[in-house]
Amino acid sequence: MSSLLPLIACFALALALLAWPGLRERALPGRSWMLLRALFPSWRFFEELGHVPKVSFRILSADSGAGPWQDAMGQATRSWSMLALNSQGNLRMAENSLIEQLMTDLADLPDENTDDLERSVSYELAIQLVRSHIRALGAAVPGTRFQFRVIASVPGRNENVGEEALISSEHAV
Amino acid sequence: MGEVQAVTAFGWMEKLIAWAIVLQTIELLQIRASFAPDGIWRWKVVRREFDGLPKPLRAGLDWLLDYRGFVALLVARLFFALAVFFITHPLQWGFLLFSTILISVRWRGTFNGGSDYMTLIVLMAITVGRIWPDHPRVMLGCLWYVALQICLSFFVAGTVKLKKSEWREGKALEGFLTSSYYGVPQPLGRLSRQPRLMTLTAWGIMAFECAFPLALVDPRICAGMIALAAAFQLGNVYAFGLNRFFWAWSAAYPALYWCSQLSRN
Repeated sequence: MSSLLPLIACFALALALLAWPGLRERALPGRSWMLLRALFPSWRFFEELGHVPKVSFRILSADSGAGPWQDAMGQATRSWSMLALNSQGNLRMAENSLIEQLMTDLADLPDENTDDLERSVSYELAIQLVRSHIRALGAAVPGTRFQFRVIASVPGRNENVGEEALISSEHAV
Repeated sequence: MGEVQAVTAFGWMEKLIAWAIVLQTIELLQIRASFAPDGIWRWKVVRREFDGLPKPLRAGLDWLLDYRGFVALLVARLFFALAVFFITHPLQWGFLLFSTILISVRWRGTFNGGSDYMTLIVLMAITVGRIWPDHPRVMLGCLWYVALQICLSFFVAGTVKLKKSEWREGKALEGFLTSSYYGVPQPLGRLSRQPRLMTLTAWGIMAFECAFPLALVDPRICAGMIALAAAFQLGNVYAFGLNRFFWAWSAAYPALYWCSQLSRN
């Protein structure tokens, strides 16, 4: 038991630090540190429910104007093999992380300036993400343009209900 | 389960993380269109985030992380991971560690979050242990490092949940289930609409996670905790598709079990 005392002290310290009101999760300064965040695990899994970013798009054409908003990413499919290999599911999670990064970049901008956002790497990747889904859905019509939007939806409620966080500029399909 | 020697635990850790890496790499190769020159994560856009680095370093990243270089890196990673089942060498582990870091850089932080963290932790421990194979204390330190990190992964996750009222009231669990990319699992659909059951389940999860460090107290408790953890993570695979977590954490369990034996000694 005496050999476990240092361990007990270690976890008691961890508990005290987590419970300390003054200790908040601080964002590491600068994008460069974020690129190495895999080396600094936080272990805060499923901590907060929060809002879930939902991406939708609409096609804009000269003839018929703006079409209805459509869900860009849809629902993933379960399969028995996903315990071993779940490439599409993990890709979907990476896509969602990209949108979350976009929202973080937006929140970090002064006065949420969308002009600066549109020059960011996250925004350019998000355009590619939506474009790839539009093509996969067969909705890519040559000569048309699209817009995408991100809604911060509340889990368990209608996906299209929530705070509209971003509506993009028009981009070629 | 009989007494497990440190060398045996270390060997199992190596094989299990190698298996996890084989699966991870096959998955990345299956989705290689997403990081192709016309894919979502095209290198010519992502590389802009490294504009502040010295030119030689950027040139190195261009060579390793553009489409061709990255596919070659993944193929080499797959080869070295499979080779672990036949031969093991410090350089091999150094490459697997380095390639895992590069994958995280390529995906702008991590590809899959927590599973990338645990993969790196186990790889760092193995690489250090293999560099100094003639120093038993180094291997023991590596095993302890992994065991402590896996305990922290559950303990911290459980403790931060306890601080949130939505978890204590069961609402968080229902919310996470309904926001899954796969939709609510059918067998759980009806259960998720029962608030009392959700609250009970949430408290069960928090209690398990917070109590996980008790696995270090006794090997029998450890075996029970590992079984519960594996079942919990299989549930996460089913509900959320988090398959990588299952394999990455499995690689850390041998270290945890070996450390739990020390209390008996």
